[in-house]
Amino acid sequence: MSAVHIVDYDCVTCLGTGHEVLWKSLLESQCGSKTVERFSTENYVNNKAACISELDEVPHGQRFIALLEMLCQRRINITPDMVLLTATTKDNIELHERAVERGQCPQVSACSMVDLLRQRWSFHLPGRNINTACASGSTAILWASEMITHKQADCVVVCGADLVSEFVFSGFSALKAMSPNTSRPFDRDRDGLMLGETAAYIVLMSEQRAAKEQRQTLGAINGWGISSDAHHITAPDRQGQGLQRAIGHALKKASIPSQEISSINAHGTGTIHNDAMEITAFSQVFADQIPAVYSVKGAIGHSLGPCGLVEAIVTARSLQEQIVPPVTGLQTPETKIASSVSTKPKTVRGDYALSVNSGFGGINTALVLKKV
Amino acid sequence: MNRIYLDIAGGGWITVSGAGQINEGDEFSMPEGQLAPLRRELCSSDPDPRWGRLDRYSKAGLIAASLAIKDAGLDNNAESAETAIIVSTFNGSLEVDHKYYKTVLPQAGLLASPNLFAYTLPNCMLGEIAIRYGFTGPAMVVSQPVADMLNGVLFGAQCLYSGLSKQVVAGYCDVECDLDPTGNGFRPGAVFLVMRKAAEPSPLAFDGENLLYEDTAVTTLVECIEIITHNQIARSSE
Repeated sequence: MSAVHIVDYDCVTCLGTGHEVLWKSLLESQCGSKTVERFSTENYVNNKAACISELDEVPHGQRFIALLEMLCQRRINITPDMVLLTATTKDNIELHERAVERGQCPQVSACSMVDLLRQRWSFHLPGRNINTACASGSTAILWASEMITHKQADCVVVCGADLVSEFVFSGFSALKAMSPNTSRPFDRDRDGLMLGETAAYIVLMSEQRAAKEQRQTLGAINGWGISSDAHHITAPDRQGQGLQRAIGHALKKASIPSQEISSINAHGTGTIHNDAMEITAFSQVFADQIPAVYSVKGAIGHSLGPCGLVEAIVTARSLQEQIVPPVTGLQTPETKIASSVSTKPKTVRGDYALSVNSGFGGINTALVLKKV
Repeated sequence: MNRIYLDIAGGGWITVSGAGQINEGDEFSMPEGQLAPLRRELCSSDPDPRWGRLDRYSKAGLIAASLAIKDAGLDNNAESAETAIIVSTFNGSLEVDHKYYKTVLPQAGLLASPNLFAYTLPNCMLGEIAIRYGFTGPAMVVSQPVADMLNGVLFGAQCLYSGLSKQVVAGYCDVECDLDPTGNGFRPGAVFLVMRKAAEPSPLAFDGENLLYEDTAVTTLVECIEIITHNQIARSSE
């Protein structure tokens, strides 16, 4: 199977604009948590989120477009045959908040991002949004990889974005899934997630086209898997069987044994049940040889739809540098994974890494990335 | 591009005209208007303690998928575990989004409903289908702002084409389009097909991009279901 090459990527997070800033900040264990200013948090379990400071100045209702505009500052040379896939869970949710407040009909669809990016980046072909909750970004990468592998596309741009909105903030607070402090993935005393907001894109190309265009390859997507828990719509399967299946499919697609995986960029939300589920799944797949495990959500929060995209970018960079970033927020690691997680950057050696996500609806994804 | 032939094992729907199943020979139509009542009995005669929690989008999707699954004889079929579930939608969960946010406003979030929030992601409907029928394959929602309503079926066919899954429950789901700002013709209703790769040539095919009926591209969901029902294509490979 010919590999799917990553030829370009970038992102905007609470830690700054650009993937270089993100990588440097992750290695320094910086946390982007700040007091939420854009709505009142008086009645919620927390008043902090990993917000992008510049967006606080933007009027309510215009933030989503402003977030996309920050990403669109990067030039992508669009050709007529390029395909656009987007990954957003709540799109321009602030316009819906406003419509409900004013008792009006909203003037925006649930997938406006597709049209906005098509126009802004001048795509020729129609785009589509893929929604698998918090696994949307990685599912879109998976779908793009399928299209390229089966020669239905030569080049796919996958772009994701979601905001910190009162809609989402209040929901996670009501579900009691939000930490009253900051997120501490894989910590013995973890107590919930921290919300964040990001926008990110990855340009994926066939090996042949990347070679023809003499594009620098930043990594490759070599395997992918997706599986449903069929268990519960908001709680993970405690045994992590869906995630195990997704990882199994991804390893099989990549034609590598589990021992070849040098690191795992986990979903690592910092909730009690998600992290416990992942530890169980990793223990089943890797037995007593769990590779280095990390999560970026203690640093940049959980951004829902695009989180899998940002995490794929970090995974590719980690493979390139052969360094695993620390788990920001981690203090006392869970015993079962203590030897795999670290509060300091760690050197690793290997050509393959996993990036996994899980989401509401009981969906799990796994991507195998290769160092090129 | 290569071509695969499709076996339609069954199909079901709930639209403004009512509920139906392909193999029962029911007449299909998808007019505008108010959806037929979304009754639990259309899914199952057994009590379902979760039914009352579901939003209308999830109820419509679950009814249509259940009718399709039963039409194909897949209920209680352990060999169907890896079945994929794909749906296209325009409005998705917008109706329950608005209903949820109305619980946030009165006391600055103090009364925000966790039960409503749980359904504010359109793929949770797919989770409900997966739970009830034990499907552990891929599941995803695809949205495209064009009114052909066919993307779920095309993505389902793509799953078969690429080998991502051997069997798919694929279709479309939207509740009343009061929130459709474009007025571009999305119809309320849910329609699902159970599709497999056919071992023998069949009139219905997928070439990696288009759904084809006797070599002609099928361009809308309504056209697709009408072709299948009028030409009795279901179970054609058997």
